[in-house]
Amino acid sequence: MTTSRRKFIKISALGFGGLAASTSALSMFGGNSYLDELVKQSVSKKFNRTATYCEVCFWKCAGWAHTNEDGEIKKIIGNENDPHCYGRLCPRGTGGVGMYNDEDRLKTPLIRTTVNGEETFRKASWEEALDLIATKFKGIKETHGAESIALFKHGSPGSHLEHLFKAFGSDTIAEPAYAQCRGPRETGFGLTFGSWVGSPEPTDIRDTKCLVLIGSHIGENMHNSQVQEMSDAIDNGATIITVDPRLSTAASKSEHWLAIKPATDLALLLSWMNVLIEEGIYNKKYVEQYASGFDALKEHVKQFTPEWAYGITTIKPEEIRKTARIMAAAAPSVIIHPGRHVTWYGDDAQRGRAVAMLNGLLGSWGNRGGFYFKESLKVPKFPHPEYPEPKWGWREIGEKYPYAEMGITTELVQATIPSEDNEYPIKAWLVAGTNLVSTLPQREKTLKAIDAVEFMVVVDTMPMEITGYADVVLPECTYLERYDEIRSATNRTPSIAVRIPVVKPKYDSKPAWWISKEIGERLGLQDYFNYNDFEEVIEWQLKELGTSLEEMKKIGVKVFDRKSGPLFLREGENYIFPTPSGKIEFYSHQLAEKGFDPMPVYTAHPEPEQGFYRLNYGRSPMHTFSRTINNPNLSDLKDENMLWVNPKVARILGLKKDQEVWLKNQDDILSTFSIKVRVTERVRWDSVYMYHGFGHNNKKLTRAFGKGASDSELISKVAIDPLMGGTGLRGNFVSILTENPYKNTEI
Amino acid sequence: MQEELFTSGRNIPKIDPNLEIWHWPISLYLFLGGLAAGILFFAALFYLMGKEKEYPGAVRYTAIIPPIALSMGLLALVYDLTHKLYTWQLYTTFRIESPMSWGAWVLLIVTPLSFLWFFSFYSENYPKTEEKLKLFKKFKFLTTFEQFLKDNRKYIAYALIPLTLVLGVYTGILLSAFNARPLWNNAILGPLFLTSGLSTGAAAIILLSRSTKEKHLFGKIDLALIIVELALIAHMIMGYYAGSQVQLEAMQLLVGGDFTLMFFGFVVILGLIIPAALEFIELIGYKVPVIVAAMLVLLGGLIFRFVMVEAGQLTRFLY
Amino acid sequence: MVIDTLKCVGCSDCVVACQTENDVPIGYCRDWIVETVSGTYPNLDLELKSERCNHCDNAPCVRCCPTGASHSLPSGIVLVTADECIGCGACIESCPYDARYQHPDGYVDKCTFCHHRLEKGQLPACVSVCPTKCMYFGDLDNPNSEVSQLLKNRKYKTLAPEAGTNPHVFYLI
Repeated sequence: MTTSRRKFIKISALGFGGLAASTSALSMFGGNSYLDELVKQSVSKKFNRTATYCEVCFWKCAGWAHTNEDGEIKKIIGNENDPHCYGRLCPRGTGGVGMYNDEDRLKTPLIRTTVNGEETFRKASWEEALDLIATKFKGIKETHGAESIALFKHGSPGSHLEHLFKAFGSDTIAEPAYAQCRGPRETGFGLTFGSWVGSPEPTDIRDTKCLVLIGSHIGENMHNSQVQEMSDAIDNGATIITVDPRLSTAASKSEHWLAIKPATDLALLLSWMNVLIEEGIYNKKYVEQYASGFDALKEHVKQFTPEWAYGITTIKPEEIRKTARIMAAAAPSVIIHPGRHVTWYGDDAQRGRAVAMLNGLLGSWGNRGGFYFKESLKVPKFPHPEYPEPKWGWREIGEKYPYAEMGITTELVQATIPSEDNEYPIKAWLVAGTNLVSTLPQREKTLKAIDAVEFMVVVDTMPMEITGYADVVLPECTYLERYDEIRSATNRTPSIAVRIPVVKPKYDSKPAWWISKEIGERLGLQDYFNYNDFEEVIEWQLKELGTSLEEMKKIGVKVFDRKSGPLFLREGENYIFPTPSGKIEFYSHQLAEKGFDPMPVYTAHPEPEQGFYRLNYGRSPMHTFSRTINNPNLSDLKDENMLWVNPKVARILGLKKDQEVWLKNQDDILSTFSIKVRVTERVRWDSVYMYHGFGHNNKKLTRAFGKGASDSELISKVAIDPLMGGTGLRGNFVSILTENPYKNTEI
Repeated sequence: MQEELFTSGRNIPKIDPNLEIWHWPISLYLFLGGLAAGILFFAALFYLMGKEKEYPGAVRYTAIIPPIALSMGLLALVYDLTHKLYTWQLYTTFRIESPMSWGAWVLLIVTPLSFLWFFSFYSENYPKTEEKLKLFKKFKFLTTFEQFLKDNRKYIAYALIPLTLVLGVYTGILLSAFNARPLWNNAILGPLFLTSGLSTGAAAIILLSRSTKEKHLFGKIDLALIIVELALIAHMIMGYYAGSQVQLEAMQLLVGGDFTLMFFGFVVILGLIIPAALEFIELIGYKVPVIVAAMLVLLGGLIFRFVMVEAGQLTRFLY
Repeated sequence: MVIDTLKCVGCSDCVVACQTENDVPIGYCRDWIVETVSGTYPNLDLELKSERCNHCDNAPCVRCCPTGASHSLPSGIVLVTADECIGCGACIESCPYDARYQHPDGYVDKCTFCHHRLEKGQLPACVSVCPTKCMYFGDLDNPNSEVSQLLKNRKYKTLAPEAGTNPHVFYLI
């Protein structure tokens, strides 16, 4: 055997040289699972691994946290059997060790106090903090009713606190993920197909022939399984069409990038519908069998020709026709992606409708390469007494919006600001796992509401800006240190994942389930928390599901068989859609009855004046919102955002690379910090772009403070969706200041 | 427009945005090494030509400089190492492809030789000091040792000639072997450093010389060396102009950028042209303090090393 | 190693995974992402690549190391023996890819192709974590290996081929 310089695996002098040689020799011929196991065991001798699922974002990928002999968390690897990640975590998940190791974490409960006339926090014991919360809650319940205590939540801690709130008699609950993120598309798809898109989105990207991204930047958002499947689609030669005013990463991998003028997406969607119908290339069989209102739609879109759309979107008519034909040729294996964060201009639910209808015309819903019928496993609820019926809740607060199916955060904020005709006055807030200051638009309003609130509790792992306004701050331990509910999300096949604490909680932090239970017991709600440790709840639930905690500790993820039927429609199947008519509704009677447009129409949205640029924002794959900016591992990748400016604009304003500028929006609101300029051709000349989540203003976040600028503080203008109350956030315009506006003022 | 950037936040200390691995210790050592090489070369050469009596400055008086220079140089090098405890590893192997290995071994041999060379002239050069210290009285073996050295001076000189040439040239080859630093990656750097080293050696001899005849001779030698050096520098710059894009950009640092003042001002004009002019004026017949020229040459040599080391690290192959 | 630039999204998962796998101190990285944008809006091209030490065949860092701490294995992997490294920095100056750095502990460090994992039959950390599965690793001498097949069937390039280093990291374009 001649030794060549490039035999990577075979020749090795150390350790498992012989074993590795034989395993690799065998694996050349097809593998030997026994030896694989042997090698795996000797690998795991060094590290212990614990099953968990990630909480850095909402995708909830299951993984294994590896700890060494000293009990330190060394690395987190994805669980291979998990359909959310297939064994590969995204950079945030891999950087989850930083969340645990971050020395800026909240360490003890804090209570607001006044020292020498200045308000500050003092450290308190859990006893004191929880007692205070219980007393205050009881007091407010007596004077104003339990309904007037609101819960703003996100993620796993939210579910524990939601249980507490409902037991206490409050349904005044909202999460920003609805009205500030995906709410409109759920309404749009719900009105068309009768079901939400949900999370993760049931897009069969890996088998699609044509993926159309309009307002989605997969690859810069790190929706794990979607990024993986898009890569598969590229391998399979799928055509990707991206509609984006900016060259997103996905756009750079697309055959067709339609560089659309911002705020004109509805025109393009309607025009595509026009081409499909006028050229007769829509999915005729599918539409005939499953859709209603086609004739009305045909009449409606007749006027939305590509030439008409060209004038609005600046996309050439040939491009519109070409891409429509590509979609039609690929149908039904085509996906018009519903997007994720779709709260843009105030007509977003209608735009969601348009996306859904376009999918309907192409027949992608329920077909391979389009949308599959998702299924999740129902995890039985741990027995508890029935929740009391509150007098009012999120539904009443959002009653102006007939299609709101979850609490509207901004409406809750409005209901907190005292006013004469406020029917549903909110008096206290508990904020868990969401940095409202950075999430909500119109910061002034949020701060006004916080001022008006009688009592505010914040549960968080890090000293985010929202903690600075609380009366009581409760330090939660990270996901690596606690039990949480069994993850059961919708997917192709139902699966469950468990979260087992990898290490003991650091400092004096506690899990949210414990916080809820302790508060609950003080409020006399012990019957709702009939357990000593949440482990018992999980154990019971797993037993009910036919497995056990022991088994789940070993495997982390368990996949079950589908019970709801096949993934896709069978040929000619008589499928009834869960809509009032049982069919896909191109013409929505529901909307017409309530006085809304039964089919989407294009409305022009305000454009920036001379000297102003539309503020567009998005994600970077290294971070999740503002949550991870202080994470040592992830801050190492990106510690500040930059302002993307087109070279033409840079020339006009005399901007150079890495120059520090300040932003002033149309309402004269200034960015607190400066931001560096990135002169790039990737962005259009009428808009600027920045990553969301930076510009932290809390000095306790040592790595994040003052780095970059915050886009959310510049979002003072919102366009509210009349259907479901979503807040359109992309209608803000900024001017770029090269001189420091704070030079003459003291901060 | 072409835009190239690191998007993963790479900002490695001392690597980004420019290399900052080698600083003044290396520049200082390069200068001292060249100086010692020049002095020892001339010393050995003139000794072998039998001109010891004629030119005692070259052969004897300057003998004290190389040991000090080489020791300081070595100290500077070790100071620059970041893994100092393992310095001995340098001497467990000789790697023929590594100029640094060459340098390590040459230094190991030349430094003791320079000490021996110096010591062999000790009693001759410093009789008054010896009267005070009376080392030979205290350590009897020293007399035999000195005699042994005096008898074998010829062989030491024979050894020194090639070794000092290697010492002088390897400092340049060390840098030119790094094709990753466009500013250094040209074949002229070796001979250029050697010439510069010899020139600084000649300058040192001029400074310590006590006879006008010697000063004039070495003034002429220095003039010749400076002219060669100027020619080599001109060729080096022509080479950059004819080189790849990265070399063109690297050259901009010297010709139209941050280092232009240092390079042209101090190195070329002050360190080469003015001394050459002074020498020339002297040759024609006017009285010029030769010391000035010598000091300028030494200064020029030092600054030249600094400029090359610092500017070279500002240039990269990629990005 | 073969990396498909058509699939890479520049998420930097490879960077973090390498950090946690190899205990790379924060502030240092053994691999990194380079973004290249060319053209004028809207006729643009964007390339993302994950770069690291190329484990060159004709490695200048191995050539210039005075102690032999920087060495090549028969398999082609270039490693640094920390106990033989004196921290002279010559290898750092010699690398055209600027892939090496001085570890805070004094020796010179860089990507090792996760040699400790290869010995156990695993892939390098970066390859096994990449969410787009755009990284491939294997035996170039074996014509049937995935990497050989990819290089046979796709266009590819290496970094700075004019440096003459003969690198072992190939980018599919």
